[in-house]
Amino acid sequence: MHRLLTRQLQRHGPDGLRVPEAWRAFVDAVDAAYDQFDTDRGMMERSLELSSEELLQTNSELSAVFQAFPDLFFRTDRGGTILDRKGGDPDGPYLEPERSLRGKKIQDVPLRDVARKFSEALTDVVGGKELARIEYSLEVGGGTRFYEARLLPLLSDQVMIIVRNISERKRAELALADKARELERSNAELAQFAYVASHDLQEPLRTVQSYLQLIRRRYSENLDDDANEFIDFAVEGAQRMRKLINDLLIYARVSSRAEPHKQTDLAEVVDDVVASLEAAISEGGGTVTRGELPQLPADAGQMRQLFQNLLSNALKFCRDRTPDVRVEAERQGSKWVLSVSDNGIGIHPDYTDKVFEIFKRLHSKEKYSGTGIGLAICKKIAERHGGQIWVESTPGVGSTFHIELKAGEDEEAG
Amino acid sequence: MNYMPLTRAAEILLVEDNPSDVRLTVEAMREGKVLSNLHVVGDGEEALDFLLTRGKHERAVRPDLILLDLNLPKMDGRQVLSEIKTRDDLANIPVVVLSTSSDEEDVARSYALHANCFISKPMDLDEFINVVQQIENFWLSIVTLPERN
Repeated sequence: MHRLLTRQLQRHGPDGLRVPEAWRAFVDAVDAAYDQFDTDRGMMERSLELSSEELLQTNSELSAVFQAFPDLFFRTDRGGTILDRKGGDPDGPYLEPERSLRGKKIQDVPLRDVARKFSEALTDVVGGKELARIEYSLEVGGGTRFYEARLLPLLSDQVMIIVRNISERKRAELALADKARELERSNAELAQFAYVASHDLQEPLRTVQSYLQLIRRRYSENLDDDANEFIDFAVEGAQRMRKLINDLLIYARVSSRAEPHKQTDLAEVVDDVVASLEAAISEGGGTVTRGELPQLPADAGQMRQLFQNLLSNALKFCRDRTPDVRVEAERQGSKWVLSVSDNGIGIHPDYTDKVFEIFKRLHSKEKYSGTGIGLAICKKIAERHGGQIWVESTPGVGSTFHIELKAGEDEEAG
Repeated sequence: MNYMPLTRAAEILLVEDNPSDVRLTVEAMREGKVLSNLHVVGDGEEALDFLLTRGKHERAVRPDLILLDLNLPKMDGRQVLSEIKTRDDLANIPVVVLSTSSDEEDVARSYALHANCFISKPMDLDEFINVVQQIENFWLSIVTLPERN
């Protein structure tokens, strides 16, 4: 029977216990003490002789354990009347501030809410439940203290109640929840800001562009070459700004339009992207090949965007070489590391971090088009999947982009 | 071709708060071929006044087609759309939503409110003119509209 108790204690050993060794030591000691008791009883049954000295020894061992432990132990009868109390700070306000409950009923705490919880838990345990667990808080000296009580049935119709001060853990949990809420709010605000900015910026920009074009349409014959060229520059500027705004919107949507992660077959994703880039690939006479790619939990749309950006970059930054692009995956512990390698122009080591910044470009737009948003989006996608992205590159030889993503439960390369 | 063109000038209500867009639409229509009278109101409330012939729009004509911008001062375009499409006396007037936005939610919401179509205003002038002319041509020349009541 005592095995049941110690097993329960081991099984229900509290999470985040400050001194797990002490807990284990306690359980072991209880175990050992009971073993001793069993042995004693065995001898007793054989000899029908009671060794009071050894029982005393067992008792003293047990009370040493109770005293050493920070928790407070109550023993009550079925009705909840407190039989004794061991361990913990003898003056600690475990059940109510500044009052002792010795000899009273555990469910008679003056605080109604706490009393109700104890009463219900006691009923459960007396009714046969292996373990009942309640949490309650007390206002002590102007602050709130949080407690957790576990109720376990003992032999001979008794109930063991273990009360633990969990204020620190509770405060940490509350602080964390606060932070999470704050972060969520600021993320939502940021997404909203980007959305509004993008939409509201489009309107005046369209006006600028349209009317410049209307001037050109109606009056270009009356204007000299310079004037026409100036209008062209202004129109190009407006068009470019529009692209930037659109890209900013796409970037903001990586957060605001994220889908829940589902099991995603990356081989399928990469094959789709390659098919959509067919024109660009055959135009340059290049090849895109892949190794075995895994399935993993991800936002499939964002994975598509990630590979779309990386593969089109690989095809774009090759100058006059025939692009040769390879996609691979390697399992590293609980992660997958995906890689996209090219034989392109490469990136100078000074810029391997900078390329992931938003609107960061390393080349003139005459040489390589684009706003410089692609890799920033890739970085955001990787990070939103709990992963990271980095690049290894040799200028003139090629670049390899690595994306580390969490593997799922037990996926194999497929 | 079996068109059923209107035998009179079409009445078009443009609900648009941005004067530069109003002007662009006027310019685009001027270059078009369909005979039409363009009526312009600058916000959602005025649009409903026009449609319900209230206040200073007491003598307003019932439009054959409504061009509706989504982002309007006071009552915005979504509310105007919802109002038009839930009123028996207005629901049969085709509403073309014209918006700077191409946001999926705006598109989905507009159709859910029974917009007859959603068009993103093109940035490029030539495209814009083309779109306005296509709208006129489609809704006023190709489409058979209900009898005016």
